[in-house]
Amino acid sequence: MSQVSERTAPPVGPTPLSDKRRKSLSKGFFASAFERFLRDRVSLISMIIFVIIALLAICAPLLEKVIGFTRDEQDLLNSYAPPGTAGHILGADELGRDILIRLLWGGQVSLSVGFLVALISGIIGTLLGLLAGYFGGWVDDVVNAAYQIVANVPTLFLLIILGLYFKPDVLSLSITFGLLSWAGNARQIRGATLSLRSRDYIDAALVMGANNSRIMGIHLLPNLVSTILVVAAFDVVGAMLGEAGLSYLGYGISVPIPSWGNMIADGNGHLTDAPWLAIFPGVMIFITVLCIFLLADGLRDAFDPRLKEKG
Amino acid sequence: MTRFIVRRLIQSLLLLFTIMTLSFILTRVAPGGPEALYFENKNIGPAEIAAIRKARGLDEPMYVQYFKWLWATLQLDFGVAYSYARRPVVEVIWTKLGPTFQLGLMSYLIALVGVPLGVYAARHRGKLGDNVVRIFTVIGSAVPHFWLGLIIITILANTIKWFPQGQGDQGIGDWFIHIIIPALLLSTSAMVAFTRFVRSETIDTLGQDYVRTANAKGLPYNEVSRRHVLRNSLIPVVTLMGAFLPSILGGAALTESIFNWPGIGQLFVNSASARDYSILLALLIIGTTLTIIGTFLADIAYVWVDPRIRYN
Repeated sequence: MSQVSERTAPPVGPTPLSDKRRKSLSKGFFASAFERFLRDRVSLISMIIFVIIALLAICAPLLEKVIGFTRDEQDLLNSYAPPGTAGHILGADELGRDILIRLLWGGQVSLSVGFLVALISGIIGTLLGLLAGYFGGWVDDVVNAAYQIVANVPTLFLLIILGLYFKPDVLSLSITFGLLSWAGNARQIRGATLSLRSRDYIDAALVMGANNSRIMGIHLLPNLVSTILVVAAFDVVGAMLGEAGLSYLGYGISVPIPSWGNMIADGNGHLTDAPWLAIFPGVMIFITVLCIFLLADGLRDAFDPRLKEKG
Repeated sequence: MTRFIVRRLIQSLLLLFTIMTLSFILTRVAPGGPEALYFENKNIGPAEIAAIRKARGLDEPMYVQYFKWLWATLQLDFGVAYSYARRPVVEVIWTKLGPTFQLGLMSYLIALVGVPLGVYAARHRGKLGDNVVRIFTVIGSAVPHFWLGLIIITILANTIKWFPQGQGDQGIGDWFIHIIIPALLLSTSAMVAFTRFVRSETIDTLGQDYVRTANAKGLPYNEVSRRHVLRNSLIPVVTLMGAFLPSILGGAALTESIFNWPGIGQLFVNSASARDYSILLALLIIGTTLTIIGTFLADIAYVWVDPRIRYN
């Protein structure tokens, strides 16, 4: 983690107080990790596929013209059109809405929920984990109590109850989901903080008179970034699968806004007569989540090459 | 050891009490309160709602309601289930607990297959077998299980014109073919976690000095892997088993709905659409209690099987 190698060590004697640091000859931690990441073929391919899916989802409004149908446009004459008929490349649903364009719009929803949940649980988990690991004592106890509560309640049960109170949209669903799923983040960050705070450079900073917030913000946080990123990537996986399940049960994103989960729910009653309704959104979830999962795995290996050695 | 158990027990009870209180607040602050369903019915006037509130004790101050509820809950009295013809909630849940226990237990048993899989992968690290196991774990973590269930149902229905629905009531064989597919799906995430975990644990153990010593002493290969490697790499599985209880319970809500399995997961989903808050609250608390007990037992077992861990 430390970027100070032999070559960049400051000369003996009083160091002039200046912002100018001698430029390091070795690559930085993140640059070399990124290089390792790109060198791994599986990570590279999953990143490319993921970027393509994300771009297509983001461009959904523009692609409506190309595909020829808008998100909610009904084509009742061609309801349940099988894939490849009546201009519907992936078929149409019970109202004749085009599956392909709805998949792209649904991708926006599913990806937004995934990334927002990861962001929210990442922020809460990092903050609490950092505080608990750094201060220990009663702060640790308080965080642990909150952790126990979140970790011991069946999240899906709670989300269903919350789904009764209000019709969740992307933002509110992400917030409630994020508020319930930071436990893993907090535990990992706490562990990483514990192992970092006994390092010499933290002692050195303390001796030089750095206060707690400076140590946490400037000395600890940058060294936790790799852990935070990897945990967040796995959070996206969990959140996307969770959203799909919740929307399938009818307590997540609700129609007419398409999400991959509620599109599967739509196709639920037509598994034998119009299976494409449920198959395509599931395939989209599978491919996207698979890519993010492999990305997360590759990211972890890239940040810590010893893991790769281990397997 | 006794001190550790007592400490953990007190912690667990405090935790349970806190979650119970939070759950109570959660269901009482519901917009419209527990009687929200009646507001949607245009035929029920304000006078009738007031009467219902009085009959159910909802007009009393919140703290009175809370203590009454707490006292009743401690005696396992969760009130009456209005969506189940006013039968006691305990009774309704009791009939559904059995099927969920069967499903959960079966899932755990299947998930334990992950242990030999992980050991196998670790032994054949980097070879074909390891890669196959790895692909399996990656796919198992990325596929939405409920969707896979739907696809399996579709395939079965289209090919052999049969699919698992409910529990099956014609003997043990019938029961087995009905439980195996939902249990397989429900177990996937735990199995994947066990496999990955045991694999990296075993690789770790294989690199330890004492394993090298055992090998150098000329102990037979099987002896080393059984007594020196397996023993030490299996310990953490105990804690993982406890950790997977909430996700098994949550997963049961989806799996049971899809396969029409008459357990508490399906009961939860049905009660949510019927807005039967007394069942929802009871299930939330029972689910949490089960999880806390599971974590508690796993912690104790962990310390018990691994003397290296100090319990304070």
